[in-house]
Amino acid sequence: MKKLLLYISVFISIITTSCLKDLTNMDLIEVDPIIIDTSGVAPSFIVYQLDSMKINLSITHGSSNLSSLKYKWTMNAYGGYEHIVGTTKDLMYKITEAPSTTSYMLIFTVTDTLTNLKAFFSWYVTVNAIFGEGLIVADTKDGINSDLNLIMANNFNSAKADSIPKIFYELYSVNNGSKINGLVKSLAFMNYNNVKYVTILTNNSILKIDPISYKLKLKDNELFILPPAAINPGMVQSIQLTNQHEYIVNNGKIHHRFGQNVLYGYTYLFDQTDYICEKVCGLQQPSGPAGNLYDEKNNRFLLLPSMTSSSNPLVAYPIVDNSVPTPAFDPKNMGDKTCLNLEEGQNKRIVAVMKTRDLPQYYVYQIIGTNPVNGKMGYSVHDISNNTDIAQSKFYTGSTAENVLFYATDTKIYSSTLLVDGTNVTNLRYTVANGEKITGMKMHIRNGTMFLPSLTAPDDYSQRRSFASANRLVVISTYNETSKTGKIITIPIETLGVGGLVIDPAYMRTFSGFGKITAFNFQGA
Amino acid sequence: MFSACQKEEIMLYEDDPGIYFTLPTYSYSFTENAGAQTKTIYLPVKLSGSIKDYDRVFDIEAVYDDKTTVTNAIFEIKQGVVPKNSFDGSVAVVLKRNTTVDTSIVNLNVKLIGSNELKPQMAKTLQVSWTGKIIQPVNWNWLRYYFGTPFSTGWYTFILREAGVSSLPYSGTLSKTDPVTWWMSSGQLIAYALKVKEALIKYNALHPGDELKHNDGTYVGQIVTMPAF
Repeated sequence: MKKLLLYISVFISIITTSCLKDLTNMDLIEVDPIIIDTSGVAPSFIVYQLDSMKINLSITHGSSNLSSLKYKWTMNAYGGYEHIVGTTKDLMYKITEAPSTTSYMLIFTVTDTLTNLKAFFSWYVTVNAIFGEGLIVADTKDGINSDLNLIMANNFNSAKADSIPKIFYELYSVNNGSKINGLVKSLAFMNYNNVKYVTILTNNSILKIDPISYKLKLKDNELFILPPAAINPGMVQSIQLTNQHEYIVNNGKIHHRFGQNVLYGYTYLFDQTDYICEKVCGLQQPSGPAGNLYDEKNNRFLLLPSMTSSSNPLVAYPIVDNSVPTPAFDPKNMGDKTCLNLEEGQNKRIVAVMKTRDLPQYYVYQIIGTNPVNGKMGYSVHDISNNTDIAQSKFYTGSTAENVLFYATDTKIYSSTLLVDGTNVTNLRYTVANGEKITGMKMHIRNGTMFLPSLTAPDDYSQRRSFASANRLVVISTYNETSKTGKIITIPIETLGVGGLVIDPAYMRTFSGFGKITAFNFQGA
Repeated sequence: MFSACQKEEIMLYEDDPGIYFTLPTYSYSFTENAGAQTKTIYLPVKLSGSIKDYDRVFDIEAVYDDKTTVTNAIFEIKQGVVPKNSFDGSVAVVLKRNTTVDTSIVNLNVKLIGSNELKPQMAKTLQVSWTGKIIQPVNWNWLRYYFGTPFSTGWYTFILREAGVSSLPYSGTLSKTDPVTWWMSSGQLIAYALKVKEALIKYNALHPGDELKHNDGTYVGQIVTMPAF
């Protein structure tokens, strides 16, 4: 019985003890929260390699002393990449991350060393190559040697939202120790699976440079699988929208490279008869023939073979089929004409500006560029011989978004609508400033944005509309002989269908600081 | 009962590796290197069986039958090797040059002897031919895709002259065992073929009615044509 009482008393004492209110976890000290104030700081960043990135933040820690806080800034990426880029409250960091289409995550961590309390904030950071999307501008300051410059501005760079352009001058000479010998006449950028090159043509040399470093990589014969009989460059064109490839005219012949092949193959052949080519036009997104060229020797157009082939021959246009609907002309037989410009137009048509060799007769021929390839490829002919100042025209371009030809003289840009009935309406669209002369004109066809006036409040710039600049932005280069300075001027097409260039100068952009510009073209990402 | 429980070793597959020639003939012309007095060729063999993590050697020997027209004064046979971790091997034969070689085609029949580790199998013999004259190169089985199947010495002379080379060392198979000799890429061969095609077009345009024809061999008299490639 005594034992039983002992057990009961022990049990009761245990029960009693276990029912005691545990007050130990109520003995807390309130910790001041760490608050990261990001007001005024962008939610994400687009930066360029080697850019300096600055972020100033305001940190509060209640009534506690900030001296107990420890800071850490890290750049993070998929796969466990973590790079500590700062250990102070404010970030001041020169970007060394590799350019990537996938954003990095910049993480800011504040730790209270007394309590181990942490606070975080993060931003997406897109790192672009230092020499990213833009417009490559070739210029000369002595009329003998050339240099390359790069304009990175929203007109030519989809990632660059701000209005302040970034212009890199004299990129070639800075990175290679000397200028390009000769004047650049044509250039093209091509990127296939991040194998990127810019091809530069002078009158007697072909150069390939790396657009990441702007260093010269290959030159002349090194660029061909078999060295051609002579280096006599004509023009270069890259096809960047699909199955990236490139055409180069050398010594009157077409060479081609496709994909990651850096070297040009042997010249395209044409069975039976020889050809001499000065102008070629590859279609950016072919859905039939890859494009065509004009054979100056035999006054005819020839079809390019498959865009992926370096060995198939050029193909003759089929014998003209004059049954109804009658084609406008026979691409096999163009008469005594030379080709002044060959460029992709609306609905994959190829637009050729032609001139009778010894007469002031000017024409615009449009050739159907899609299947089926038959005897009805001659789409339209426009006689533009009577167009204002056409005899003084030097540069030609057009957009795939409208059926209009732009032509430029030394000082003026005209639009000429190519109406279905064969007539055309010409309008003066732009005149350069006094003392300046146009040295080049080209439609921008790649990434970028531009602004146009609001439809309801055209005088209010704050209500401007934003558009993609591809095939909507005419780019010209001008030169002032007195001041020896050159400019790039971009002029948006406000009214599509008639080549209506914007009139309000607020919507045009001018990039200056160049010598005489001899060639320009886009640089892709 | 106890005997019924006796342990019996499991029969495992035992490899019986062998080698065989991958070509019935191998030809070489000193026109490829006019100044050379010797040329080392590598006759390819293929392994039948498992690869090993060490090199295995084998031998071949000359067969002095009625097809062999040379003495051992103008050739030298080396020991063959199937390298470790490879199904492809080769055996070197040094071909030498003399007046007979320069003015005719000499032949040597060789036979696989093998070794303790590599037994000769299937294609055990191969005929080596060499000369100082133009002959059908051993890689014509690859060149024919670009220059056409019909071969003649006149056509091959035209090819080499217009290409501006003494040989077109492209072979998708021989390059596996002798990449030094067969160094040319398909892209380079296509470029040379186009250069020759351009020359053929010009030649025929300049000789209407008298286009380039095969001058000897099975296709003598036939107009030379090149395939699309």
